[in-house]
Amino acid sequence: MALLGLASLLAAALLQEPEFRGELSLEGQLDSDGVQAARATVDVNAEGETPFGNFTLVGRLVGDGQDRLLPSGVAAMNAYRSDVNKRISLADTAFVELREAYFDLDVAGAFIRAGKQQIVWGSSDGLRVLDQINPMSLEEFVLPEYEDRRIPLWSIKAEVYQGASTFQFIWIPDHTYDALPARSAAFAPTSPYLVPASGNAGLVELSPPRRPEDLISDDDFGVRWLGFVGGWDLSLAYLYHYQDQPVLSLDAGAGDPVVTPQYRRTHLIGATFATAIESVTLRGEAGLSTDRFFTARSPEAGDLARSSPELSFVLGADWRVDGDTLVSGQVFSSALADHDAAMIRDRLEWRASLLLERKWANQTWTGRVLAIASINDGDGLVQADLSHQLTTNVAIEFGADWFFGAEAGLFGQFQARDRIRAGLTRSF
Amino acid sequence: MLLRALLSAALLSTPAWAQESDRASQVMQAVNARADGEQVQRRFTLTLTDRNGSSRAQEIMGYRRYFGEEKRTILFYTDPTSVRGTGFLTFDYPDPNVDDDQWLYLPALRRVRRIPASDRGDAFLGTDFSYEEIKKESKVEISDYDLSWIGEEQVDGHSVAVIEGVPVDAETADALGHSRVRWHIDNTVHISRRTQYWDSAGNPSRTVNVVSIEEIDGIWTPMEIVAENLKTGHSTRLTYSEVDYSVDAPESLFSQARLRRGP
Repeated sequence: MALLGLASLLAAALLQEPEFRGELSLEGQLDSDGVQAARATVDVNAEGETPFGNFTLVGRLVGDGQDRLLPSGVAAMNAYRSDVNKRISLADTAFVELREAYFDLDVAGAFIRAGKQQIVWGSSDGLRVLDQINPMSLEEFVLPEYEDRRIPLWSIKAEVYQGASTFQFIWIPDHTYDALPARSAAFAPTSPYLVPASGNAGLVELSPPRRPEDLISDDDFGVRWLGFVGGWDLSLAYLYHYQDQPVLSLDAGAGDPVVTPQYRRTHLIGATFATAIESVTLRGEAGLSTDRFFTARSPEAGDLARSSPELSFVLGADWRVDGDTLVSGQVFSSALADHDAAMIRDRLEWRASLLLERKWANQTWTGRVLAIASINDGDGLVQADLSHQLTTNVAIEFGADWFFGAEAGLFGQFQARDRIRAGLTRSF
Repeated sequence: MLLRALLSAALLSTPAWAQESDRASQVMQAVNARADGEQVQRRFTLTLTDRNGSSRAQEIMGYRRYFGEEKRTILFYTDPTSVRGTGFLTFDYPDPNVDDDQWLYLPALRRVRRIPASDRGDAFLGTDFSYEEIKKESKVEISDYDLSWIGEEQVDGHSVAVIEGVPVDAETADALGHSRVRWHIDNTVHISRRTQYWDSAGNPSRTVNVVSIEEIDGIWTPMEIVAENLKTGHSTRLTYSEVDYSVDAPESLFSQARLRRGP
């Protein structure tokens, strides 16, 4: 991994005739407690050729006039990242981050992308079954676009194309996991699904996570086949990985109890399909994880979680009403083979999502409403967005995020964080 | 001798409208027989202008190759930054009754999405061109129309044959998004220099003018096309550059894996 980093630095220095691009985004977010964020983000992208192949580098600078999303700076969330994947603090409310840095190489008929990157599996939107490779940064829960929530990882992806099939192999030596915000942050998790409560004392404080550190033995590996057969897009996947969500371990010593996030391995085997029938795309994915851990009410051998094999699937249908209108619905289900009565979650869980999207005026305007709901808990999230492309390089966007349901729910825990948003993006 | 006499009599007895339909059909068949290369690489520059004169620009790198009678096309948006990396892959099958297979790659999702075949008359990705026009590349699905010969005219100093097409049935008209079309075919290059469309109510709806045609590697190639929506006043200018019919376009280029990778 360090070698990849060094090679990236070398490549950046050797870029021939690099092409620079970027985006400046200004965003304001308002919730019931006032201004939630007043943020400026600059993304800079450099692409070019090097003696080793094409190289892409994406850097990000973020400054926020408020400190509610990252009240303790980047330190708390950096604890979940490996040493070569940390954000660099510039001030309490400003940081820089290397988002991506990778080579594209053609070697003996194989395409290789090596470096810091995002690798996405699966066919669903917003409900993850196979999209388990990159961890998520949860400073704004699930509200930002996936592109911004995913934490790119130092990894190597190799693809071999053979007729209508593609074989993919991945190796991820970057031990970075879902980054949880500090307890005082606006989107600090409070749901018992995610964090345990300590009697009447309320939520316990999490100590820094104990991440796996050994090269090779603690790395993630995956292989996938993708094919186009008789009009169907099919894929089969296998991933040997650490679950990105921490397993909480309780140390009830003499003082206050200490809860430490730790990580457990699992095997993930899955498949996807997609096909189009007239104006509808049908798609789905299913995955079997051999050992998934879920928060429990009472500790067992120090662990505040119990494990079970988990079978989950998503079925989705996208109806293209006309060239500019899309209606998309999804159903997600997760079933546990060894459900334990102490587990907070049910043996069988259901979620559903509905997306309505309409473009008009030659696609310069886009209106979009996305609703995701937990059927079991009756809580959920509705996001509404209206965006307008003013010129080739300038766009404005307005939006609102509304949580509903019980506070104990995964979505309902943020019912006090309903917000409205406005933003302007200038690309260059 | 008797057979020849019978054939001549039969031909002479063919109604005038049938002869004109045959003549129109021959012109359109020549359009479809025009060479367009086994494969091609080209850069598209799209300038979209609204009725107030406000313009947006987009650049696309595109590749197209025939695999037998099947045509595969892959497009990569290269500019502006906000859409850079967006990719569009189409497998266009020779049987007009078989829907195309289409995929879209959106960088914000980092995922290839299978999308339903677009209605042929739908606007192509926010432009004033239809999917059918982008797909057929100045050719026409003749079986969609009842054709008639209108006459001969001059368009921008070029002699053209004017052919009118009416969709063969209501379903086809609905899919194509128009009730009537009139092509102005330059018989020297077998390309319509001006195409006019009428909507379902019979009102003029769109015009497509081929502004510039060049011969590249022996292939007559439209280099600049302007489509105008007469209802909204919005127009799209499509300019081709870096046209290369000898490009190496391997089968692996027309794949979902390549959509994810980029141009």
